[in-house]
Formats: sequence, structure tokens, C-alpha cells
Amino acid sequence: MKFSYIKPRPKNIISDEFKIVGVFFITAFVVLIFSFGIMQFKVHGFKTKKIIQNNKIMQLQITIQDLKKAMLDAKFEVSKAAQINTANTVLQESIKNLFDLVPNRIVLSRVDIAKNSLLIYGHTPNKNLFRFMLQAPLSSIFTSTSTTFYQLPNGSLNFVCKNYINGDNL
Amino acid sequence: MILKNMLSKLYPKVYVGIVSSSVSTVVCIELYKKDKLIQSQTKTFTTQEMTRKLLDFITPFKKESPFFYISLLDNTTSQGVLFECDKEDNKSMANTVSTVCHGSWSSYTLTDELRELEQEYADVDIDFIFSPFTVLSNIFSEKKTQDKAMLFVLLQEDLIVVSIFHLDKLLYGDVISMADVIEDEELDEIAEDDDAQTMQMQETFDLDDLDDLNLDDLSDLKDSESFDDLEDFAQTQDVPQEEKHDLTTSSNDYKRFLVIQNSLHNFYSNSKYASEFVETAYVASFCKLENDFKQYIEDELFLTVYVRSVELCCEVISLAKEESL
Repeated sequence: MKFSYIKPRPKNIISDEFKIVGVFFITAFVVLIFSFGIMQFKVHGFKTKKIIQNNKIMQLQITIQDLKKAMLDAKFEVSKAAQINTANTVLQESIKNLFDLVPNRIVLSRVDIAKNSLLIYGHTPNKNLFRFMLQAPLSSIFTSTSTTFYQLPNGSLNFVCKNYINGDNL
Repeated sequence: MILKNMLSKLYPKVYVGIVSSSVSTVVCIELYKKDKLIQSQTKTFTTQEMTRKLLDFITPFKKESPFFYISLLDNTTSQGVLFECDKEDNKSMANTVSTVCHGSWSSYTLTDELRELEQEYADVDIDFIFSPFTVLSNIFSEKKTQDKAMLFVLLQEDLIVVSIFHLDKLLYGDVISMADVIEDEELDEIAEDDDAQTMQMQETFDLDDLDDLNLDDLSDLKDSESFDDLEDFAQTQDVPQEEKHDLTTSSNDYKRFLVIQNSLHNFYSNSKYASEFVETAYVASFCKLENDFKQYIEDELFLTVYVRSVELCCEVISLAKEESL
């Protein structure tokens, strides 16, 4: 109940000096908590980024592995291509050499070239021309050579000449 | 707020009551812890104003607790009572008159005088200013249950508060300064001067005591022709202090009686007051009274009188305690 003409002054439990100190410490504490919060947020951000980066690294490592594999495959392909190219070059040279060996009067109708064998089908005016002009050089290249002649009505001959290296199909 | 309430229970509460009169200021301090009185001190200062001594007495207690309440009894004569409580009216007049409602009635005082009081005690910061009517009503609150009109009187050294209650309804209220009584009753006193002087002299001087005086002085006494001379003589002869005091007291008691008598006369004769007959008077006294004061009122005014001696500043503190809860 109100008895007094005036109202009492508000009673401050905490003195002004204590209030200032309190406000300072509370402010410092709030700043620290706020900073800690920001740091935690940043750390969390960095951790997330780290995980993302780790995932990226793993993906890149997988990609590197794939690329290395692809590179090996490519190298293999290159070496294989080189081998084929070399073989082709050798074959080209062999065919060229073969055609260089064939005299103008002998006509070839078919040539089967294998790794260790050479089968030549063709037409020759006579056996001697064939033996001296073609069989002789082939005999110096291959280890075994055999020729079969077939008489044609016009007096010329068809021939099948089989040449082997190391005597595979003798 | 909850924290403040919790902390407030940890601290003691210090209540200071100040009752000021024209000659002295009584300060009492009570220190409570958990509603238990721990310490109580009362000191009377022979000054009316706020002095260094008074401040030095109060200040150490201020450090005891932040819950430090200083209460002051309004001793101005420009205060009074209203027989109703209209809060709207009170608000509209707040600039000039400050009022406090007490149920069906209210007490008022001039706002400027309140401000002056606050200024006067600015060094200690006053928390409460109570009306003596409120204090008087509080002192005799338990008597207000009787279904009859009763006269309540608060006697201070230089101020008399008179109120008439019927249950909780206020029928009459007045504040009279003893200084005003002197002026008002001067003529009566002059009329009764001779008789009073004779009576006083008879009471004060016993003829046997004259033996103690010197013969030369007695010869002077013989030469005296009037009681005035005798009184001058008595003053020069170092009348014992107690006897002087008795003289003053009985004179003041008579003035107090006159105030009560006039108040009752005013209550009965003025038509603006309720027409009720007062049979009982309760007197709370904060000053020294002669034994026959009560008897005199009973005989002259036909009242049943009960006199209670009160520590006014403790009563002020009890109000402050109630209001600060």
C-alpha cells in the first residue's frame, strides 16, 4: 500500500564501478564467444572445404591412374603401330624386291606372302627363263624352293612356285 | 527482476526514520536481516537542519546495504486531510498539492513544501515522506474496529495532529503548530496570567526553601512589590533545571489541552463535519507530558483518555518497511 508522498529511489544492488567492470567483462566475454563462434564457423568451413578438396584429390588421383593406364595403352598402341609400320616397311621392301626380281617376260597372277613362306602363281614363256631369271634369285633368299609347271595350249607355261625359310613346309 | 529479488534477500535492509521539530531532530536507524531486527540506534540532534553530525551518523549505515531507505515525517503546517479519495482530482492537482489515498480518505501537503524538504535532505536522498495523519492512523489502526467516533491525537514538541475516526471513516483532521497556539491563545493566557503565575510560583517555591537564600537577597525580596519582581528574582537565583522544565511542560500541556478542546469544539460546532459524539480519545505522545494531563482532559472534556508514549521515528520506519515490501 502507498503511504508516502514520494516514491523511493531505485535501489541499485550493483555499484556504478562494478557495472562498468561488469559491462567490460561481459563485452569481452561476448566478443570472445562471438570470435570463437566465427572461428568455429570458419574451421567448419575449412573442414568442409578440406573434405571437398580431398574428394577432388581422390578423383584426380583416379583420373591420373586412368590417364596413366590410357598412356600405357597409347604407348603400347604406338609401339604396336611402330612394329606394324616396320613390318609393313619390311613387307613393302620385300614386295618391291620381289617385283624387282621378276623379269618382264614373266607375268605374275597371284602372290601369297606369309611370315616364312612365299607362294607365286604366274605365267612364263618357258621353264628356262623362269629357272634362270626368277628361281635362281629366290633360291638364294629362301631355304627351300619348289616349282610346279602346267603346260598351256599356246606352248607357254603356268607355274606355282613355293618358297620357304627354315624348310617349314617341305 | 528475479535476480534483483534474489539478491535483495541476501542484503540486509536499513531503515532510517527522521522526525524533525523546531528544536531537535530525532534520527533512528534500524537494520533488518531476513525481517529480523539486527541493530537499532536512536540519536537526537539539537538542530532542525541537516548537519554534518547528522550526516556522519547516517552515512556509515549507508554502506551496510544498497537497500537503504530514509523516511521523513512531514512536519509542515500546510498539510491536511480530505474526506474522500478522488484519484483523478488528485492527479489534476499534483502540481500544487500532493495527495496520498488511505481508503476512503486522503492526506495532502503542498508539493512545493515537499520539494523544499527533499532539497533540505538532498545529501541523504529521502525515499519516503509520510503524513503525520498516516502515522497516527497506523498507530491506532487496531482501535478503529470499534463502532464509535474516536479522537486520535498525535503530540509532538511543536506540532499537534488531531483526527476523529469512525471505523475507517475520517470525520475530522487538523494539524496545529504549537507556535500558532501561542499566538491564538495569547489573550487567554494573559487573562489567566495572574492566577497561573500564582499557581506556578506556589508549585515552584516552597517557603521553607527561602531559608536557603542569603539574608541580603531576602531583603531584596522584601522590597519586591509584585509577582513580576518575584519572578525576576527567581530567575536570577538559579531555579533548579527540573523545576524550570516542569514549568514549561505544564504550560505546553495546557496549550495541548486547549488545542484538543478547540478541535473538538470545531468538530461539534462546524456543520461541515459529521454530527457524532466523541467519547474516547487516544493520545500518542512523542513528548514529555505531565501526569495530570490525561486527568485534566478527562475532567474538562468528559472523555475517556488513553495516552500512549510512542517512538515516532520507529513508527515512521514501520510505515517505510510496509511500503518498501
